[in-house]
Amino acid sequence: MQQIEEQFQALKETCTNAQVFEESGYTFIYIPDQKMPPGCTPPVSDVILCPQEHSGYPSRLFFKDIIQTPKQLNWNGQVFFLGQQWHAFSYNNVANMPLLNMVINHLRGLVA
Amino acid sequence: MSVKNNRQSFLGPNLDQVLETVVIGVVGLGGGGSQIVQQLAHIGFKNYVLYDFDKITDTNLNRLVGATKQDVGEELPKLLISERLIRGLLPDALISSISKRWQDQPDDLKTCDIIFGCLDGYQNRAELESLTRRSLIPYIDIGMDVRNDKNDIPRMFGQVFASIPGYPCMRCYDFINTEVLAKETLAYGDAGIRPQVVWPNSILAGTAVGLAMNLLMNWTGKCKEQIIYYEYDGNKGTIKPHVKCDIPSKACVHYKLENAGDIVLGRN
Amino acid sequence: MMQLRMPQSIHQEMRSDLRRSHPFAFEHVGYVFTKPAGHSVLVVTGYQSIPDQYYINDNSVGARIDHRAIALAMKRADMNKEGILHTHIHNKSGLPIFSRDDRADHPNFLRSFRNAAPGKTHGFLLLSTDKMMARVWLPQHESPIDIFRYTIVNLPLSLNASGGFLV
Repeated sequence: MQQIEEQFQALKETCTNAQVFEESGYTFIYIPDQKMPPGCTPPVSDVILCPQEHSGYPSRLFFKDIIQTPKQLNWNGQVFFLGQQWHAFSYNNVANMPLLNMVINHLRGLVA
Repeated sequence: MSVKNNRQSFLGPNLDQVLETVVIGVVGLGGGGSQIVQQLAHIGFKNYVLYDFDKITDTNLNRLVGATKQDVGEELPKLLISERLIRGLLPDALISSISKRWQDQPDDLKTCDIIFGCLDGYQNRAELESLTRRSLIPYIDIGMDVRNDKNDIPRMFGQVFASIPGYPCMRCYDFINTEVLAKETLAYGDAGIRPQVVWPNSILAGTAVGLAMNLLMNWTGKCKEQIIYYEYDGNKGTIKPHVKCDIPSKACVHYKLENAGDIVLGRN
Repeated sequence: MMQLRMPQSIHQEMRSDLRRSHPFAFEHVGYVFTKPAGHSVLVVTGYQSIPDQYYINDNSVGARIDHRAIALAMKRADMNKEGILHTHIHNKSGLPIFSRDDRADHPNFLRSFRNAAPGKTHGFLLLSTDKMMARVWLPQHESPIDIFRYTIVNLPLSLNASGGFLV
């Protein structure tokens, strides 16, 4: 938790409005109005990073909206937490890196 | 105490008032939920918040209490079947029927005093538990399954779990964990046909309703020792405290009381 | 129509703190923090005891607290975006009623609470030895509403509709 706290402070330097929440034993990093990669619709969405193992993935990035992308994605995560529904696509192997890199890597998965 | 309640007067002198004022939520009105609704209506509960978005089909008739062959022809929503069942016993019941996934309209659930969950899958349960913990509402879950053992013999099992804020949750007891959630997500859309029959549902529903009655009335005088996790073995025909109930319970670390209430997300 | 739900652990903590005797004040006060759960429910998220040294020696009232005590509540409410209920106990049984002194203090407290957390519901919770009543002001409302239903979440569940605990 302390490590996440330190990394969160680093992430806040880039995502100034990010907030940390805890629920059901998970830590969630909420980032409002996150810019999506070029070619995505909507171009901006709220996202939540779960930096721990969640639903079979070492980390997951949840989106407020299902993002339309040039690439065919498997949106297999529709999860209700922190009082609302969130969506995630199947994307693996994002682990063991600072929180900001996790967010960047997941976002890259939308298009790369 | 009203005369109509004389056979259940042992439950306590406040029974009439409890039945008049307590609001019960039932999420999922299939095989399990329909039996819970039936029992609650017979007891005399007046206020309900019901959720189900499904319509009855021929395959439901072997276990959906209150349903008729004619309902199948009319493709009646399961909500209406439960509502009809309640009104047949309590014409003046107040019923809020929501024909949606509860996740699409969660606020109505927050007004309930107790919520029964009769849902498929672990993720669904985990999500409902997160809402009920945030809203400080006791949540009583029932479920059953049938799986073949290594000798290819069907094994029927199930559970009743009461998730009470301040007490251990489904994750504390390892009923829900990352492994079962992962398995479910990775089998997305491939859950197959879930085996369901009527009689285990009646045992599980009866146990869940009994638990709720003790929670509300403390008629045993020993509600503090109430078992909150039961395991059902359909092959043996037993329902008993889950073996993990013997482990001394610790404060729940998954849902801290200070994290209760709605979260307002947005810019700081 | 607003109801209040409180975990037993916080209820117990609050009652035992308020029952303590004070070197000179006739009663103790404390703060209960709440968040909404939907549109008609407030859930209690914590209790803040007030240190004895934050009381002012004033025989004309049951208890008077200084600015540090109010700042304690305001700080937490601001940080956690919570509503505040100023709380004290009248040491008799039955449905409690706010005294004239209590009611006279309400506007000043309310102003401070609203400064700390403007968008939240604030108010006053009054206990007797066996019951409770609360009066709250919704955001942007000038008139208060009385909580109609109280639940202490425990095994068993304690429900209080219009004054009397059922269990």
